[in-house]
Formats: sequence, C-alpha cells, structure tokens
Amino acid sequence: MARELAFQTTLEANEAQFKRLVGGQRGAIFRRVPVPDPPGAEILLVFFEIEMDQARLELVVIRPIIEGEIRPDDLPERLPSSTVKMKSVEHALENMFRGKVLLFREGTADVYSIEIAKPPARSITAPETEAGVSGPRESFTEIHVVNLAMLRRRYPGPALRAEEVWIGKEARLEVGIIYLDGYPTDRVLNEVRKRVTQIREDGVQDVTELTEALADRRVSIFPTVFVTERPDTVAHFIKAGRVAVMLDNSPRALIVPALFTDFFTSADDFYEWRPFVVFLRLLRFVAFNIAVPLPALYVAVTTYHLQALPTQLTLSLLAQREGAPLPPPIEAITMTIIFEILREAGVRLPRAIGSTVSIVGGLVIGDAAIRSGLTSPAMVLVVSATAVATFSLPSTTLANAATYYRFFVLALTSMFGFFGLLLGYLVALANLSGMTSLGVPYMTPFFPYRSRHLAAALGTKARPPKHLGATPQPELIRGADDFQERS
Amino acid sequence: MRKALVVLVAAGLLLLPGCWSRRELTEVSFAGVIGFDWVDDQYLVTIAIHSPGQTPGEKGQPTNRAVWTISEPAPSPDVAFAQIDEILPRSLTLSHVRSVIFGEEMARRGIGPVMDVLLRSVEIRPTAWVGVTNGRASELLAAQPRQGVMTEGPLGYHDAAHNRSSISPARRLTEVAKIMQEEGIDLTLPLFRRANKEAPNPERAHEEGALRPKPEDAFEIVYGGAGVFRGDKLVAWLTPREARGHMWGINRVRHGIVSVGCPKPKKNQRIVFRLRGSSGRATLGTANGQLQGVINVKVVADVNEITCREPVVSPEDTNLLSELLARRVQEYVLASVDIGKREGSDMFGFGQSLFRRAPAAFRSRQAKWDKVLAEMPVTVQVDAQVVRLGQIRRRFRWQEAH
Repeated sequence: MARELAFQTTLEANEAQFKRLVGGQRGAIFRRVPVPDPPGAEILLVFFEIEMDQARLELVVIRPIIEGEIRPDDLPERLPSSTVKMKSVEHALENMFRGKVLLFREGTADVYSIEIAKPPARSITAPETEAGVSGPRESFTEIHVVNLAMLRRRYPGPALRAEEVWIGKEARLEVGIIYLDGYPTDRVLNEVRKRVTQIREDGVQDVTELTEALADRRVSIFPTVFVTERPDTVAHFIKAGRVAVMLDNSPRALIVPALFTDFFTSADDFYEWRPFVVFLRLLRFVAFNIAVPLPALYVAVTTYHLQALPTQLTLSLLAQREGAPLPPPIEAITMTIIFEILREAGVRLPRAIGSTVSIVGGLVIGDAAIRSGLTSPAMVLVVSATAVATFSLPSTTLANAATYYRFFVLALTSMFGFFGLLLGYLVALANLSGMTSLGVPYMTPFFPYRSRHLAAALGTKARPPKHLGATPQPELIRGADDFQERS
Repeated sequence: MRKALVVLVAAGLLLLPGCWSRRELTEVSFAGVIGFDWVDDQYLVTIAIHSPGQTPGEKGQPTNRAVWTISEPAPSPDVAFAQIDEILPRSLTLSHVRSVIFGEEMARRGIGPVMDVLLRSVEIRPTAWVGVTNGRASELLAAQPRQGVMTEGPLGYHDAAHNRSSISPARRLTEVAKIMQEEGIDLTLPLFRRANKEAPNPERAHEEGALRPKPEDAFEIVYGGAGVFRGDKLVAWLTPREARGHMWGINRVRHGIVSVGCPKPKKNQRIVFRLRGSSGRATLGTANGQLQGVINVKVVADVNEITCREPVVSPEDTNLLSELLARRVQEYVLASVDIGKREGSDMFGFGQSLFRRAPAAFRSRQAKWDKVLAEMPVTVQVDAQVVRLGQIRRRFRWQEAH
C-alpha cells in the first residue's frame, strides 16, 4: 500500500477506504444505520456477514441506534463491554477479520470494534486420544476463550495467570501462556515468553506446530514438549510448576518443561489409587523397554547368541524357523515395517474400515504369512508383542520415539548382536542425558540425581497436593533448574 | 578431539569384541548329551543331537525320536568333536549340552583329560549335569526309555531326577571340577544304568526310589546308585541304598522314604517313614591321639505306613520309632563308609577336613592317605525325630495273608 492509511472523518471517506481494502471480499457488509437525532445522520457498521451473530447485532446495536436509545454521542459507553477503540486502520482490519463489527461515526476519526461474533465452533466433547477410566471427561475445543474458561473452572484461584501473546506478522493469532503465579521459575517463564514471541509464522493451524519453537533442540527423537487435550491434565501440570502454551483454534495445550518421566504419565494417573499408579508407571517403563528392543533381541538370540535362551525355547524357535526363507534380521525388519504400514493404514482410515484393515492385516496376512512359510510364528509373536507394548505407552510422541529407536537398535543388532543392542542403548542414554527441556535436564530426577523426587517420578506424588504449593514437583523443576544455572 | 574420541571408542566397541561370527539358528546342530567311552584304545565320543522337527513347537507333540545320536572314535575328545562337526550338515554347538555321561571303561581309565576339554570349552555350560554308566555311554544315549519324555530322548528326565533324587548324588560340571581340584576329597557321580529286560528283583523290592524296568521294555534306563572315584578314576559302585548313605554324609538327602522292619521282624511287615528334612556333616576329630571320622546326621520324618502286628505307636513308642529310624540311617551311612575305606576313596572329604584345619598334618599323610582312611575309625551319629504319626487312633484289623 503506497498511501499511509488513516481513519477519515467522514463516513463516505471511511466507507470508500474500507471498500477499497475489503470491498471485494465475499460477505463484507457495509451497513448504514440511520440515527433519529439529528435526522438524516447515519452510523456505518462494517463486518463480515458469515461470522456474525445477526440477531444479536440487531438486538444490541442496530435497533437501539435506530430507536434513539443509543445516541452517537453516547458511544461507546452504551455499547457492550467488549467494545474497543481502534488504534489504526490495520488494527481495525485485524479485528474485522477476527469477526468483530467496526463502527464509524460522522465527523470523527474514532472507530470502535464490537464483539458480536459467532465463530463456527464445536461443542466440548470427551477426550479421544487421552481417554481415561476415571477423572473428568472433557477436552479442549478450538476456541481459546472456552478453553481458558475450562481451565479457570478447574483452578478457580487468583494464582492462575493467562498471558496473551500474539504471534505471526500479518494473520496474527493469540497464544495463551498459562501458569500458576510463583510456581515456575522466572527463567523458565521468560524463556517461554521469549520463544513464543519469536514466532513470526503466519497461519499457524495447531499448537503442536509451536513444538519446534519451544523445544531446546530442533531435531530430537525424544519429545521434550508434552501435548495434552485434557484441561485437568493441564491443571495438574501447572500445579507442578510447568507452563502451558495454548493457541486459539487449537484443541490442545503444550506443557513445558517436560521431563522424560512425564511421558509415562497417563490421565488416569492423577486419580487412581497411588500404589497402583506406581505399578502402572513401572509397567510402562517395562513396556517401553519391550517396544524398543524386542525385535532386536529376537534377532540377536537367533543369529548370534544361540546359547542365551533356555534349551527348550531354543529348540522350539529352531523348529519354527526350519524352512524359513529369510534370515532373521531381514525377517524382523520386514515384519516391523509391515506392522507400521498396517498401523498407519488403520489410523488414517475411517473407523468402520479401520477395523477391517486390522482384521485383514492381523489375522489374514499374519496367518497366511505363517502358513506359506514366509515367516515364523515366533516372529509374528515378537512383532505383535512389540505393537502391544508400543500401544501401552500413554504418549503418542514417546511411542513414535520408540518406533524410531526400534529400527535403529534393530539395525545395530543385526550387525553386531548383543553388542549392537548395548551400543544402541548407550547412544540413547547419552542422547537422553544430554537433553534439556527449556534448560531443565530432561532425565531429572535420575540425572541430575534427585533422590527426594524419585517417588514423584514413579507416580506416588502425582495427585494434587493437600496444600497449595506443597507439591514436590515445582521444587523438582526449580531444583533441576538451579542445577542448570550452577553448571 | 571429542569427536575423535567418540569415533575411537565406537570403533573399539565394534571391532574388539570380535562378535562378527554370525551363526543362525537353522545353521546349527544342538547337542543335548555327550557320552565318552574308551574303546579299542581310543576315545569314542557319542553326541545326542536334538532333532528340531520333533520338538513340540508349531506341530504339537512329536511322534518320533526327538534326538538322534552320532559316535566318532578319535585319539582325543576334541578331535572327535571336530570330526563330528565335519560329518554333520550343520555346525555342532555344545552350548545346550545338559548332561555329560562317562562310560565305565572311560571312567576307570580316568576322566581327567575329558574334564580338561569340557572345562576349556567356551560353549559348554558349567551347569551341565555329569553322570556315569556301568556300560557304554554310547549305548545309553541310544536307549529309548519310557520315563524320558520323548522330546528329550534318553536323558530327558535327568534334569528332574537330578534335582529330586535322594539315591544318587547329582553333580554339575563345576562341582565335579571343584572336587577334582581340591585336596582330600574324592568324587562320586550319579549312576545311569542301562537295565536289560529282566524280572523285578525281589531282593531290591525295598530299595526306595529305584526305577525298575518294565518287563515289556527291551531295556530301560535306571537312575540310582553312584560311581565312586579315586582321583579321576572310577574304583567302585554304590547301590542306591549305599549311595543314599553317602549322600547323608555329604548333606545331600532332602526327601525320600526309609523303610525299616518291625521290632519283631516278620516278612512283609514294615514301618515306612517319609523324610521331612535331613542334614548331615562329615568331620575329622581325634580320639586318643588318633584320627577319627565323625558323621553327624539329623533326620526328621513322618510315619507313612505301619504294617506291624504288634503295637508300636504310643508315647513311649515314639522313641522306639526314632531309634528304628536312626539305626536304619546309620546302617546306610556305614555301608557307604565301608566301601570308601575299602577302595581308598575319601568320598566324604575327611582329608579335606584335616587339610583345612592342619594342612601340614594332611600333607604328611597325603601319600598314604588310603591307608590312613582304611584304618581310621568312623562313627556315625544319627539324631532322628519322628514328627507325625498319622491320624489313625486305633489300628485296622486285618488277617495275615497266607
């Protein structure tokens, strides 16, 4: 735009300017409302028809003006409380695109926006990807205000802070930074603010797109940002000194800093009987350590370390493998890839067809593969057990990490046997130990070792504390953060 | 610098272990049992190899032999292994060997050289069982027993028998090696007997736990008894009863039954005890300046059966029962002590007991230890407790069978 844009003092000039700017767009309405006093005077309303709650606009703005209840001089005091005076034409345009009504008067450059929008939205539903047995049964929606309301209902205290940051250059979006006052350290909080405000990208569709900006490393196999769709989980995490980042239009929240042990937390952990939670948490650790190395272990014991298994099991495996055409490493890699394809197919397809895929994949292909001698029953068992172990991980991002590492370890083991497996684990451990989430060591409380917080990592203190601030986990984050600062 | 170090460590980790020898499951023959014989002035090594198709796997229970045997004569055991490896279509693996059996000739000649090969092998598990047979090991391995579950071939039941037997001293490879390397103790190995078709011997009718052959079988493997060694050479056999006496002395009896005659002995009238627990210890003491062996045995048992006509169960009779039991145990132990003294085999480890307390005293007698052993008095002290007499308050009445 060559010319400097500014509000004009006449309705005609303003209308002409805005028609030039948005006039060609579908649904852009320029409506002149006659004012009874002085006769012949008018007020100009500019808005997008499709986003508007027409009935309410009529009731709250248009009729009172026509009937003289609201005189132009009374503006904006008599308008709804969400009415805001516009600073610039750009500001006005942005508000208009966000579904607000712009109000122009004759003889003044003061322009107001009124929030009477009725954006398309779906209602609150039960969580789908984080389904639980106990606990609340609602998940976030795409409307940030609604999400915030849900959070405020879960934590109706003054300590809950929801900061507003706008990201993007042209099509800006609201990002909420939510935390409990005094819980996260200043360093963590400032870091979150800094990283969020640095996002310049326009048209971000989901909050998970911000993961990269919030993570300490651009490329990392293990997730360092926790994603949840449950308001209660966010409430629990912010009580544990974490910061939640939410985006308008996105039904999910990001939680930082996120530690390795957080990804073994399921929504039910906060509500179940604690000793059982500990058991489940340990079970998930075990499942992770099955999901990553099991195919590799199978390859190692059938290819390199024939003495490692009990005799009966060895002979049973041998009997199954008689006549198998592919060597174990190729067989394992092939079967694992086929499983991943089946899983992908099942996820993408509509639910009704998805079950067909699992039947065809699991039963028909699996059975046919064994019968035709292409693979051994033990291999199918190994791949199935791996799949089940992967599915038992509560976090899909962690499950994805497990899948990556499975191939990595499998490749190493195919070449070097148990030494490859060990090497793979050492690499993973080195990687994990060096990772941080917003500067907090990722493997806390194992490294740096915090004996007092081991119990928390195992889930014994996962429940909300009896007294506000008595929870050990903010200390955990603070303690680990201090460590970072000291070192 | 740091990258170079990482590369160096990774390269070292990958190249130094030398684990490039990839061997797939289907390229390997798994040996289950190894038998060693001495035939025609050379070793005859027999290996029972698992036949995977007959192992219960995909197809359920096997129908044929689950193992087959292969024998090779050679001037040394290891040469025999190499020859068998060459004959076999798949490479021979000893990592799943569960038992090692010595034939009688081999054992009498000395098992030292074979043990040397076995212990040097990186494949053979030190937990493999070791036994001896009174014929040829090759024949024993080829035998098809009824008791052995077919999956395992002739020695399938030995794992179980080893663990629960009280009539044969089960030994693992490491234990055999330890005994053979220590001073003042001699080896005993469990006896696997290939019994030919024969009628049950009435004389052995009361030998507890002995597996007797069925008349319809061509032959059967009988587990029970022991081979007594002096150094690495087999010198005598122990019957199951004597073997149990020996096992009491070395604290190896855990359960089993002991049957004794009635106070007024009459045919087919007995008292049978079931052991609840037992312990034993052989030590060396001195009496009147002379070495004296002492074997202490403690036995706790329940009464399982009383077919005596005269009353034996009353408060006073509990002592009587204990005495009967103690006397019986003493007989068993003394029977094995006598064989040890006769053959000069220190299978209770009296010499070891002396060596540990007074090495010099043992060294001065070591050369003629068999003589010392033969002249040394050995006392057996048995502390027997009878705990449960059963629930019968009054005896059943029955008539004597004629």
